[in-house]
Amino acid sequence: MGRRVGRLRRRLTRLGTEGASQRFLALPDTALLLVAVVIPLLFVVARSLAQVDPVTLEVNQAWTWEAYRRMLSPVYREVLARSAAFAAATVVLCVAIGTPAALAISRLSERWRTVMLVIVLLPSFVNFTVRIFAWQGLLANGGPVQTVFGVRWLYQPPAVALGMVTAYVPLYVLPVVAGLHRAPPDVFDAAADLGAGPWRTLWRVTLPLARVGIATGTGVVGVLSLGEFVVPTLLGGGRVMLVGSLLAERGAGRDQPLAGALTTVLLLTLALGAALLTMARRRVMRHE
Amino acid sequence: MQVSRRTLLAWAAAAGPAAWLVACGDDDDAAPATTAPGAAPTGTLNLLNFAGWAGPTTYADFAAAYPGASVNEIAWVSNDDTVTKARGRAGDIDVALVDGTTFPRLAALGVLAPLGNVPNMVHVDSRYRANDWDPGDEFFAPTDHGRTGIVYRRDLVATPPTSWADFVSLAPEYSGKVAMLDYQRSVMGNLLVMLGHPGSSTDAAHLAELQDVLLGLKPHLLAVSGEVGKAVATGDAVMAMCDAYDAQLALTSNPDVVFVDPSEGQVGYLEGLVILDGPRNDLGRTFIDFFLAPANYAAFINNVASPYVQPDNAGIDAALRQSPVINPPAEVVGRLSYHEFLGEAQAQWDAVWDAFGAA
Amino acid sequence: MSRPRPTSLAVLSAVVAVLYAPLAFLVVAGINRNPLSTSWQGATGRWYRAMWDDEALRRSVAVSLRLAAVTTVVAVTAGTAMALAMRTSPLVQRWARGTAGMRVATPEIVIATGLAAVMPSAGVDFGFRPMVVAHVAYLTAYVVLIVGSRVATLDPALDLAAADLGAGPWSTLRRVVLPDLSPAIGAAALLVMAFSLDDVALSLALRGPTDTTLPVYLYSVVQRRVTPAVYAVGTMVVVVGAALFLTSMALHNLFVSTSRRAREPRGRRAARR
Repeated sequence: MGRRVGRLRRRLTRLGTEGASQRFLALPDTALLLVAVVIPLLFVVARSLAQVDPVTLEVNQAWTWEAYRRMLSPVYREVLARSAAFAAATVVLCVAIGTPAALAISRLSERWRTVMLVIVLLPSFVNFTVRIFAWQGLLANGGPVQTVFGVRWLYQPPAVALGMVTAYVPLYVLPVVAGLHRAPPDVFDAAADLGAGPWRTLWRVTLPLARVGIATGTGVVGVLSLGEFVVPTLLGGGRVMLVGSLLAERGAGRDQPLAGALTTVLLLTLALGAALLTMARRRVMRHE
Repeated sequence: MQVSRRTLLAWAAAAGPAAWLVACGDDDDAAPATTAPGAAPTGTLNLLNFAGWAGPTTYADFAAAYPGASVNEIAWVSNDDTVTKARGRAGDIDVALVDGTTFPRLAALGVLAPLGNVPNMVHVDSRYRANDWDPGDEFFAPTDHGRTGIVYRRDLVATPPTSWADFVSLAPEYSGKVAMLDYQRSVMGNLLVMLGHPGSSTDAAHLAELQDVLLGLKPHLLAVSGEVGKAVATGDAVMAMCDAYDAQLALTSNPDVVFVDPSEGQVGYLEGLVILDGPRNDLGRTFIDFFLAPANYAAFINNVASPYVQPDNAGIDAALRQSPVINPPAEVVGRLSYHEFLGEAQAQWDAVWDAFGAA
Repeated sequence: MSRPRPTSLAVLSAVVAVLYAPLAFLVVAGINRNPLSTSWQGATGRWYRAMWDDEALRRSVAVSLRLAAVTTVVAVTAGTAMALAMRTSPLVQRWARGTAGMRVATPEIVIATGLAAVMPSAGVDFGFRPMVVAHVAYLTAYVVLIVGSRVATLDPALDLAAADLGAGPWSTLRRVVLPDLSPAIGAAALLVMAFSLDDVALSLALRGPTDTTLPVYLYSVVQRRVTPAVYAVGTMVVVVGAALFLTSMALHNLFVSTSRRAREPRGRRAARR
């Protein structure tokens, strides 16, 4: 009996010889990836080593490091550093606010969970720029927020924070809720029986279960907020130049090489970071 | 390894509807214009224009006046985008709205078709024709213009600014309540004029001087963005460098807002329609002529409230004709110059602007 | 499931309030006579009339809806398939996560320029099809990440139990795994739809002359003049979206309760046996 279960278990973890055919479910996405992402990315890397004529926008494949040298100049280093700090602040904000919200949603009954998710996502269907214009109107001098709360937040950090919550908290909450393993209620009861208070349960039971979703949400928000510029411009006053505005204004035109250089460096950094994380995790597991 | 029939069926079931949806998503290509000699042209005109930058019924009226013709408005997004689209895809865009800085780029690409005979051009005032970039009026049909000036709140600013120098010197006094529009050419061009240099100068010394001014202004700025008129109207800012067009909206919204044309002079833009060489040149020419016809042109200006190029057009609203913002007096126009194409020097301008942005 | 704790509920309510405040503004600004929406100047229907009369705007809405519909169907299918393939081996899992992460990390504008550069040499015309391909290729990554993170936390005991009961891998997939994943799949679908409807970079670079989408149209409006007509559009989106959701909930209830009624008598009969 034990040997039969053991063989079954081994087959199922690799889904056995029959289940292995399910590997080919990966084909559509891989095909899309190659056609629509890998090939353009190769072009982009090539373009980062090229020059673009500012008059006709013609590309001259000169194989030059000019774009990378520009990227490392003090002005752009400053822009990159500020963008990275901004993205980090956004991640902290989203995790601090989004995690409790996501946990609250995940604890609702299945039907209410769906309702709540739609409620949280519905505003995202309205064009983003229009919603940020609406925040501008709400926070302006003499506007509703000033009249009710007496604060002048427009073009100050609180306005940017409100805008970033509007933009990114739904994007964070969704993966966290989706990834939360539906632990049977017994788990929480068991924890309580064993004497764990609410904070201990949160720290030791709930959060580890939500770990994968939180990682996904953090990754998505972190990367996307690196390219953000609408909120800092419309609600923050545009006093701080970020990578996103550079890319949006000129990345498709005369600054394609710079955009390509930024992307290449960003992707290499992320790949390096992921590799380091995997190595660290393996070392930790070996120690345990 | 077997892929079961069921799997294949499942995939077909999923792919089928998706493929059908995609296939049915393709619209027919716009039919080329059929022009029998002497007959009015037909077909769908692809017009690259700011969204809604026409009279409320201009396109419908055009279709009614020329049966078999219609206008498909393509959203204008940026100058670089216009140039990119014009480069490889002649025939995809028939007529485009461009300004003096984009015209030379399209001309360099060789994609422009001559306007030919446009009878309604006579209504366009001579001061907007025969421009530096098209001295013979062969390719460019002017439609509207704009300029940058100073808006301020007369109830919140003690000494009214009358020049760019005033604006710069008053900034520290109202620190944190001064705004600027975020259009590189307008900001840098007008400050160059303040320094006594040409508004499209590429001289390194001039640009260095300009960069100092910009960096000196930066700490006092509340915002560098596109909605500065609104910021002054609400009182978030008390003074701003602002486009005439934006200022007009702010004025009508709050009577305490004042627009000033600075005494040193201003740099602005002049926009017009050009024909991109393709199968529908005749249709494009007909549309441009239709657009410039006094009745249609008046409907356009009344709708968008922009400075105009047909000063004798009686159909334009009295309120607009009497507004010094929309209809500037002669001495203001005398001090006005238009943005010129920078060519290779664009990179130097970008460097100054980026240094200002990163400060 | 235990009920949500009061602090989390409070945070959730605050988040919902922040998300809906701009929508409330949209509703009011859409009927405000003031073109700058800075103060209330009386009610008017002119912005809704302008929105209704604008043919280019109407067409852009149609293009956006069609694009979002096709993109969602294809992206969710391909992405879920990839997420399911992740169960077969750790190698596939790492491949899926890595390629998805790479795509999310790449700024859309870069994918857009890259594709726009490749297409002329490949002889592909700009238009609806390239836009779909680009949207699908980019957004499938989000489906993979979201559904994949749920796949990672699936209970292996379920697979075992199904096998014990004699189910092959494909029927296990159909009867056990997919239903278990359906909330994540639904969530991913909503996200893809929202992203596709709001995408500027990809739609801008790959559009043909008749394929202006709503966000590209609005981007053009913002370059020159913002009138409250855009707030009218926003209000319509909220109203239509809410109406669709309520309808689907009502239909769902109807379907669930009828099927439950259909099943009951048989169950009672079985119990009597």
